[in-house]
Amino acid sequence: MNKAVLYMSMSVDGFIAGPHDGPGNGLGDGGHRLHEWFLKDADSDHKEVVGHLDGVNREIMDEVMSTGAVVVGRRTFEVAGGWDGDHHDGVPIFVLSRHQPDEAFRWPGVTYVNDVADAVHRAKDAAGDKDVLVHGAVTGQKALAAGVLDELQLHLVPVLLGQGRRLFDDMPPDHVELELLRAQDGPGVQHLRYRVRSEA
Amino acid sequence: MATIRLYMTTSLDGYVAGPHDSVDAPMGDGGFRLFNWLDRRDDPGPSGQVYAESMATRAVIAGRRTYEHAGRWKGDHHDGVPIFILTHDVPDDPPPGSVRYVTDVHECAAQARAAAGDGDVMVHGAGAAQALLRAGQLDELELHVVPVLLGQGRRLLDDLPAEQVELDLVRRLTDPEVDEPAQHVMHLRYRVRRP
Repeated sequence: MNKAVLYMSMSVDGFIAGPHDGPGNGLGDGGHRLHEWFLKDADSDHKEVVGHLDGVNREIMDEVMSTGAVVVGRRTFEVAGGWDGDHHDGVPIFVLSRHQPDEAFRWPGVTYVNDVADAVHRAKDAAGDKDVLVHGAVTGQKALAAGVLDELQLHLVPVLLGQGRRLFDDMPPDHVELELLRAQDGPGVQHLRYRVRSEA
Repeated sequence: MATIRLYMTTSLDGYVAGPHDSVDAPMGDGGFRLFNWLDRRDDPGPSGQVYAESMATRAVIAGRRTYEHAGRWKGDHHDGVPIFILTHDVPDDPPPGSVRYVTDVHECAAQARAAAGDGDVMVHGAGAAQALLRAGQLDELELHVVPVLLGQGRRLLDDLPAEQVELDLVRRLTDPEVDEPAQHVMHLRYRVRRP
């Protein structure tokens, strides 16, 4: 059975973007620091630049790029310019949104879905035997709350941002028990993979 | 010179206590979940090693909230080492045991380093950690990261200025074999890079 895996780069103090994030400043002030581990030039397109990676960082990025579908929040999708409708290899993209999209954000491989469980289930079906890449803080939180997130792959960057947008925020006070499946120390980043212990 | 090192247990989502923490409930609602790993503090292995290191420190810095919530450690955190309590509001009653009150963060750091001699200084509590970080006086962080999301509570790192502080991972220790998943923990030691 394939899995829904949240992939996010996070600072040690829990931020996935700096302050003042928004259109044109997708990672917020200074937030590009979080992507330096895989981008030589953090402003450039992720598809063009993973070739320079090696070792653990390359393995992890290869995993990301071998997922068979993407579930992403509308905000993350739009600040990324919708990846021009193609995150990687043309795999289907399911965008979590309560509203119908603007014309500028419609592409053939992109489906708008208003329920996170529905989005993950459809993405799993579409991905066949491959895993589903879940991306975005709000989407990750919703997927956790709905019980449809299987694993978290965090790229823990050794920096404190101080301010910004957190990966885990405004969650219900219910404990979510995890199991550390794998910890890998790459250059400038640690890759931590956790399984959500739904039985706990 | 003595290293000033934060020792704190935190959930993966960055909380050091659950919601509604108080003197009567120092870990807040459900926050004692974070301390399950301490069941193994005397065992051989990473958790035993890290705990022993923390107990070998030669001075303690803590904030007022942590100090009061811990019942002032009855004046002795471990081995009677000097305890420096960073507080804006010095209590009227004399400090118990080896406790001293300090109102200035730089003064607090200097006194603790001097007291620790060739040992290290343990910092405990979110408030003291943030104050020392802001003052550029925190040298290292030893985070015991517990594989749980608490969802709400008191954060370790909160309300810091929007200034990037670069860290270097010095060490990662994980318990390779833990039968009880709730006792699992990952110990991450970071050094604060000076600009």
